Order: sequence, then C-alpha cells, then structure tokens
Amino acid sequence: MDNRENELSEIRQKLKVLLIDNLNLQDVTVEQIQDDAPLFGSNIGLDSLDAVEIVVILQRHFGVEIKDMDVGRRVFQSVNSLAEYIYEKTHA
Amino acid sequence: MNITGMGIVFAGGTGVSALREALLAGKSLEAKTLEKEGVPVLVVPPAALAGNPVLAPARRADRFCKMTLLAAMEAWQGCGADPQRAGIILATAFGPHATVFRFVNEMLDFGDAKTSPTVFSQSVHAAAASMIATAAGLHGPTLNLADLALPFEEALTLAECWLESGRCDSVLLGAADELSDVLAHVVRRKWPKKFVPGEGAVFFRLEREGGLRVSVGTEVSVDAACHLVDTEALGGDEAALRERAEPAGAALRSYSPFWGSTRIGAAFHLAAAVLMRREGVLFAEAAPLAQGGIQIVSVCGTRRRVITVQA
Amino acid sequence: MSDLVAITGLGVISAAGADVALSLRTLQTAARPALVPCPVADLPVPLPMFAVTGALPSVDRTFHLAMTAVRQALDDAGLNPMPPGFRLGVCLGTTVACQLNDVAFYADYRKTGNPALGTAERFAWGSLSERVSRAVRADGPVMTVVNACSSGTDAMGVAMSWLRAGLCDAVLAGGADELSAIPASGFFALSVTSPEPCRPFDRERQGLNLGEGAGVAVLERASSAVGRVRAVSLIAAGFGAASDGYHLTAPHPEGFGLELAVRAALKDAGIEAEAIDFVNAHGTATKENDRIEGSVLSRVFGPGVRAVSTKGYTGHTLGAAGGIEAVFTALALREGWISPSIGFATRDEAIPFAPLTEVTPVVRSHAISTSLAFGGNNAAFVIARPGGRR
Repeated sequence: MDNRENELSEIRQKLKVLLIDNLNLQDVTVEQIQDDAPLFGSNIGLDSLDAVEIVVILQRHFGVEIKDMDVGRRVFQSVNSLAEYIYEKTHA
Repeated sequence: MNITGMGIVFAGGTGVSALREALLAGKSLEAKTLEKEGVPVLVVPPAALAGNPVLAPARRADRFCKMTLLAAMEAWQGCGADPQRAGIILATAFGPHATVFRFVNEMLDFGDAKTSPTVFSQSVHAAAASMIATAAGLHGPTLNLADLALPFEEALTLAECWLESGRCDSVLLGAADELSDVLAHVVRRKWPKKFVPGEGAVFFRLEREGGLRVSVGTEVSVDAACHLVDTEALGGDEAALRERAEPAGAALRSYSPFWGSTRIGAAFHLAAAVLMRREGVLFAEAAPLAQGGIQIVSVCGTRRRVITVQA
Repeated sequence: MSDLVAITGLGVISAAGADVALSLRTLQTAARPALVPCPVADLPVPLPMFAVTGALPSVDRTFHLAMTAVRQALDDAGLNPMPPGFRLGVCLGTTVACQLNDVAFYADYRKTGNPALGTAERFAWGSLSERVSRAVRADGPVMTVVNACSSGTDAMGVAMSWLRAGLCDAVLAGGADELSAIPASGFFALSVTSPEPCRPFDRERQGLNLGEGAGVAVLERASSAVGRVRAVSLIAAGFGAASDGYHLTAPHPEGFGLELAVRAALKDAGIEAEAIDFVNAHGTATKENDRIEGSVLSRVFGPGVRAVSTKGYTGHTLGAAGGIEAVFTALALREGWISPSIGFATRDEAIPFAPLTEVTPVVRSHAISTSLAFGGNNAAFVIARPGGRR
C-alpha cells in the first residue's frame, strides 16, 4: 500500500508540472492544482484542445495510450483520476 | 477610409510611443547578432512580449500571435464600434513559420502519430486573427492573407472595399512577420551581408470617418510632401523603387533601418507617415514637413501600389 | 447590370474527377471514389484519404493542382487568350502552399545546419496566387487567402469585393491544396480523423478524411461578360463572413458565427431564406461540425432544409474545399440536379434534418455553400441561376 501511494504521489506531482508546462497554464503553480479539483470546470478551466493534448502527455511521458476520447473524458476528471489510470495501466 | 488607431511591436519595443521616440531620435536601432547564424538581426526584445495583461488570457499565443495580439489591441483600444460589423484583416509573408518548424520538430522527434495538437493549432495561419477576434470580442469577417509581394498593400485595398461597400463599419488591419533561425539562415545564404532582417507587427484601426484619411492607388503624385520607400525589403530592388518614386522636389526617405528588412515594410512606413503627419515633422532630419500628402510607394515587378496619407 | 457579378468559368480537380465532366459523372452516380491509405505520413491506423490520381508531380503539387483547375476555368470562360487590356485578378486559398513545411528541408537544417535550399528557393518564387497570376500573365490584384478551411469560400468574397469596386474585370477565385504530412499528423493529433470513409451528418460518423484538389471559378463583372458576348447563366449573388470569436479549434457551440455569416450572405444577395433551393454544407463528418452546422442550417432554413455535403466525394480538401464546393454548387444549379450526400445512412437525433440521399431536381433559383474554419471564421457564398424557376 505504501509503495502504491508513494508512486501515485510521484505521478501526481509529475502530472502537475507537465500540465502547467504543456498547456501553458501561466500564473498557475503546482501547489494551486488540487488533486481532486475538476480539471475541466471553471477552476482550472481546461478545454477540448487541452483534452487531446493530455492524450499526448500520457503517451510521451508515461507510455500510456488513450484510444478513445470517451475513456479520456472519464479519466481526465482530475489529477487523481489521471494518476490512478496511469498507475493501473503501467502495472497491468 | 480613415486611420483612427494604431499599434506596433518592433525591435524598438511595444507601442506607438516607442516607434515615435526612435524616429524622433533619428538613430536607427542597434542590431543584435543572432548567435546561431552569426548575422545581425533586429528582433523584438523578449521583455516586450512578457508580462503584458493583454496576453494573460491568450495562453496559447506563440511569439507570432503575441506580437500580433499586442499591436492589434493597442490599435483597437477605445473603439466603440459594433463588434458584429468590425472586420479583421491580417497580412503576412511568412506567417507562423517558426511554429510550423516546431511542429515538424515534433514529427521528427516523436513520429507523425504522436505530435502535439496544440502546436499544430498554433501553426495554422488563421490562429493569430482568431485570438484577436476572441480578445477584442469581434464577430465581423476575418481575412488572413500570405503573399511575398505587396501583402499589406493588397490588404489595405481590401479594407477599403469592406468599408466603402458597407460590409464593415470598422476594420482592424495589420501586418506581421516573425524572424526565426531558419529564415535568418536562408536570408544569410541567399543575400549574404545585404540585409538586416527584422520582425514585428503593425496594426491600424480603419473607419469611414475621423483621424487621418488614407487611400490606395497606383499613381505617384508630384505634390506629395514626401515619398517613403522600403529600400530594405527582403530581396527588394532599391534601384527600381527609387526610379519610380523620384519626381523632382518630393523628399524621399526610407526608415527601414528602424525595424529591419521585411516584406511588410509598407505597414511600418505607414505608421511612420501617420506620426509625421501628426507631428508635422520630417523624421531623421528634424526639418518641418511640407503640406501635402505622404505617399508610401511599393513596387514589385510590374505591380505598383501607392498608399497616400493626407491631413 | 453593372453591379452584378457573373460566374463565367469553372474548373475543378479532386478525387471525384480530374475535370468538370468527370466530376459530374461521379456526383450523378453517387460513386464514392476509391480512398487510399494515407500516402504522406506514417500513422498507425491506415487513415483513408482522397487522393488525386493521374500524372501530377508530387513536388510543388498544390501549384500544379491549382493550374489544372485554372486552365479549365479560363478555357470555360473563353479567356484563353484574354482580350488585350483585360484585367484579371487572382485570389486563391491554400493551407499547404503558404508554408515552408517541407519536412525533409527542416530535417536537413536540423541535422547539418546547412540544408539544400531548393525548397526555400521554390517558396521564394512567390505565393500561390502570385505564381498563378504570373503563369497566366494576369494584370490585376493578387491575394492568397490563408483562412484555413474557409479559404476557398472567403476567396469568393474577396473576388466579389474587388469586382464590385471595379478593381478588375474578372477574378480567378477558389483554392488548392495537396495531401501533406503536416495536416495529416496535425488532424490525427486532434482526434478528428476517421479510420473509415467519412459519413457526413450520419449518426455513426467518426470524423473527417483529408483530401486534395483545386476548385477555381472565374467571377466576372456582368458588363464585362456581356461585352465579350458570353451568356450570363450563373451569378455570384452574395457573400457573408463572420467570426465566432470563441476558440482556437472548437466551433462556437451554437454556431453563432455561422448563423451571422449565412444571414449576411442572404442579405447581400437580397433574398430571404426561402429562396434557397439547397445548401452545400461544410459537412466534414466530425461530431462537432455536423451537429453545430446542422442546427444552424435548420434554424435558418427550417428542418426541411435540403442539404448535402460533397466531402463524401472529395474528402476535406482544406484550402481547396471552398473552391471545389463553389464549383459543385454552381454545377448543380447549371445542370438542374443536386448530388446525393454519400456516406449517410442513419439520422442523428441531435441533427434536425437528414441530408439528401438521392439525385434531386433543383427547383428554386438560389443555392448557398457554407464553410466553417479552424479558428472560428465562417463563410457563406450564394450562387444564383437567373430565371431559374422551372
């Protein structure tokens, strides 16, 4: 359990940095992105172009594929759901 | 049509006042040396594109879009025209080519199937004007054009058509070009030591009334107070330009050294002409400017365009 | 009469056919041209694309596609040769030819810092419209429109502006684009491409197929055409364009800009919506485009709107699309029939109409072609057949 939680924590951290850099989230710091905050709501305010960009981030930096944007919609809810999906796919 | 607003981003910084200071001081800017290619270039300083609140909502703006957006919003500010009847025309020679190369980089590094959709979206010529429309809340027609010869001149002609025909009540008309390592490299090899490439964006707000009157035609007038010619257009022919712009008596000037060598020099010169007409001064001489129109003369092959600014 | 803009020549090349006659045969028999697996980029799924077959060079291909359609249009208009002193403008749209997007050139630069300059030299010959203008010895205004997917339709608008202002006698207006690695990779990355032949307006549609080609019309002041003793059987009646001002890639969810553009085009043509016989829709077969465009078209023209997408025959030809679709719209009016919208089988409940699926006679005198572009520009072009009511 500890290992899993450590790894998830690392994934979440890495994700936040990647989101800020690749999505050009100016004036947003890692601390400001809460793990369970809705990424596509009014809080961080990501849009449809960011969604397909996140697909590329997962591919390049975690080796995880999203074949179907319907899966994407479910998985991209928050940093938590993204991290869980990555962990799941890389420990399959 | 009339010029009721202006905006600029160039090697001398952001804002019409920066251009005015440079022209009044009469000293052309010092070129930086582009390390990669070892050639002098006049580039927009990074500080000019950073920390400006206009850019805050446009997180996807690349350098080309940032320059364009800043110049456009400066020209547009304070305009109360109906946004559904406000058009945008953006002229360029090379467009967002730096971002196209960034995208090609992605293809080479990651493969055709794993490229960034965001970089692709930014590499499309239509991106910059799209950001202007969003930032300024405009819903009229948008026209992006990319030509190597006389792009700004043709764009100005089209803006006149839109206003005269009643399609628009105002037009945000601009020209923008960016310098990249690749472009500097090509310039260096094709025209070694001949040109100092430049970059930047110039925008005008055009309406049917108010401000300074401007028109586009093909005839050079002997009664003009001054003729401006872009002697430094990349690959341009200075001799042909001088020959056509030289009726006796009219002062002949080129201010290209203030912003560098581009294909959109007419836009920069129009900005200079507006400032001169406002100040009543012939720049780089500190002599009074005669009455009469100021004409920007552009020639390419057999095509000639003359932009006239009158009081 | 002097204010009217006639359409006096048509030229087209696409996967649907290398000229007008061949294209008409394809459109009338509702024959889906053979698609090829993406020939320009290395993609894991063999994305089907609409390629032009025949002996056109692969280097400088967009220019050659454009010149093919240009020559057809000039011949059709009786402008080969042009009368002395004739002022011909050139306004073509493109997305590929305006960019120095040769992957090999950039790879060479990246690797050696000293690439072969052939590509850059060719680029420096001029923009697409500049080169076409020189090739046909034209002596009028020149402009290359780079408005992404609405470029060809926007070119019609520019041509009409020039002609109404008296800047020239006629304009070669339209667009051209070749299949290219960069848009192939880019549209794939955006997740809007379909792994099967596209199905505009269909409930099961999965996205667009890219295509290539060129569509060029000669727009001419009616007084000039009459002076040359040419019958005026098609009119460029109206044009409208408007910006969503919404997003870099996604269209406005209620089609705000498209509705403005369509209504502006109708007003420019001096007609009400009821005068429109049919719509040649943008109809790319992406989920979003067809849903949004569909709702705007039925809002403006009623749920009984007669609409087709011809992209089932050509794919999405980007800068060429508006040009090819203007030509197809003009042909439908001229021939008196509308081609079926192929790729459609099942109505999508979210779209208030179903496109036409059979060859359908034209009844009224006007038709409209719509285009929605990346970045949110929308354009609409109205064509009329004078005295057309049968």
